[in-house]
Amino acid sequence: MHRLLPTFIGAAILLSMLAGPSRAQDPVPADAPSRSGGTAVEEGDDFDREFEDDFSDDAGEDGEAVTVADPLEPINRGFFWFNDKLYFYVLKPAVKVFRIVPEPARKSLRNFFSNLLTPIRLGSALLQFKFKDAGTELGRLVINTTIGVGGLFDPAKKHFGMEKKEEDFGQVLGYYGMGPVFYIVLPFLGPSNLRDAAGNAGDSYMNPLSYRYIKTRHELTTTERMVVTAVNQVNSLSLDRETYEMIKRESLDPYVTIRNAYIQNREGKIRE
Amino acid sequence: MNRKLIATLSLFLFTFPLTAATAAATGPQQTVEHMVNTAIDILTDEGLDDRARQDRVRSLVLESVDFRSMSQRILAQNWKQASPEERDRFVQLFIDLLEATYIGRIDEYSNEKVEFARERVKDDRAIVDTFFVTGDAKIPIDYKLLNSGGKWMIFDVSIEEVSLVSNFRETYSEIIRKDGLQGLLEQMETKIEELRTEGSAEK
Repeated sequence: MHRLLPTFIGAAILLSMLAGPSRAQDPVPADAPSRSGGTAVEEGDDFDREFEDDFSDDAGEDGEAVTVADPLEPINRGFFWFNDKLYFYVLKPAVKVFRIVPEPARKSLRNFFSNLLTPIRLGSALLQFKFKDAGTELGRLVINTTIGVGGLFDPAKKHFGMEKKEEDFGQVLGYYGMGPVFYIVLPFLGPSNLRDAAGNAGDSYMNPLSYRYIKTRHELTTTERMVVTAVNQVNSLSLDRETYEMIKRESLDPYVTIRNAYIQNREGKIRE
Repeated sequence: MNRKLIATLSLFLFTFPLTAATAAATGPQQTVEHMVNTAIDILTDEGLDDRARQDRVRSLVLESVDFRSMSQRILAQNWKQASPEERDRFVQLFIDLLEATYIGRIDEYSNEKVEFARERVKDDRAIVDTFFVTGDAKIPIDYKLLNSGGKWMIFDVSIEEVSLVSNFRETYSEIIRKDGLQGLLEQMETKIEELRTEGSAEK
C-alpha cells in the first residue's frame, strides 16, 4: 500500500503538468529502466552501449575509450594538489575531532541535512519529468519531517521502502543533452565539469539554505551558510570509510583515476 | 532408524557433488551468485585462519574472473603492440596488484548482503546487476561476463557505474603514453611492493 503513495502523488503532479509543456512526450522514458527481474534484452536497452566499448577487439584502436576533455589539466592538477593538502591538514583532523560524536547522532545530522536539501532533488526530478521519483522525494519529505522528527530519522526508507533519489541540476542539464564539456577540479569542492559546475549554481537556487529562500528575519549570513555547509561536509566525511585515502594509496595516478571515476559515475547517473 | 539415516546421508553425499557441478555450468547470474555466496561463506567461516581464508578467496576469484581478457581490454591498443612476454607479465602483475590491494581487506567484511537485481544475456555476453547492501547504503555493483568454451567468466565489474576496466584503461594508457609499457610494468611492481610492505606493517 505504501508503495502506492509516491505513485499517487506522482500521478497528481503529472496530471497537473500535462496541460503544460509538450516535453512530456519526450522519447526518454520518465522513469529509468528499473532493476527488476527479466533476462531478455529489450529494445532500446543500453546493453550494447555498455558492451561496445569493452567487447570490440578494436577497443581503443582510434585512441582511448570515450572520455572527458581536460584542457585545464595543469591547473586542475594544481587544485587537486591543493585539495589533497586541504584533506590531510584540515579536513582529516576536523573529522577526527568530529568522530567524538556518537555515530547514530552523526547519521541523524546527515539525515537532517539530506531532508533539508529535498527541494534540490525534488525540483531536479521534476525538471527531468521523473514524476515517480519526484513523488518519492515529496513523500519522503512529508514522512521524514513529521514521523522522522524534522528529518533526523529516515522512516520513509525504513518503513515505507522509499529510497532517496539522487538528483541535481547538473543531471537536469545532462538530461537536456548537455555534455560534460570538460573536466574541472574546483578548489574546496573537488572534481566537477563545466556542466555540473553550472548545475551547482542551479542547485543553490533550490537550496533552502540559500538566502534567496530565507528572506525573512531568519536570513543566514554568508559566514553562517559556509559554516553550516562545512559542518555538513565534515559530518558526511566522518561517516565515509576513507575512500579518498584508499584511492590515493592504490592508484598509480590518483588524479586520472578520480577524474575517470567522477565522469563515469556522473554520466551513469544521467542515463538513469 | 539408523539405516534410514545412512540412506539419506549417502543420497546427500552422492547428489551433492552433482548439483555443485551443474550449478557451476549454468548461466551468468548463477556464476556470480556462486562466487559471491562462496566468498561470504569463506569470510564468515570461523574455523578458518586468515591465511586459509585468503588462499580460498584467491582461488575462488581466479576461477571466476578472466584476468587475461580483463588485461586485454585494459591495455586495449597497447595489448596488440605488446609482445607475448609483456602480455603475460602484465596479467600477472595486474593480478598481484589487485591481490596486494584487496586481500588484506577481506576481514573488513561485516554482514553485508548481496541482492541480485537483473540478468541480461545476449549471445556470449551478459551483464548481471547486483546491489551490495551495507548498513543503510545500497551500492549497485554490476558484473560483465563473457562465455568462453561453455563457461561464464567475469571480466569487468562496475561499482556505482564506474567500470574497473575503463578506469584502469584510462589511468594506464596515460602512463604508457608518458613512460611506455615498460615504465608501466615497473611502476606496477613498485606499487605492489609498497602495498605489500604496508600490509605486513599493519599486522
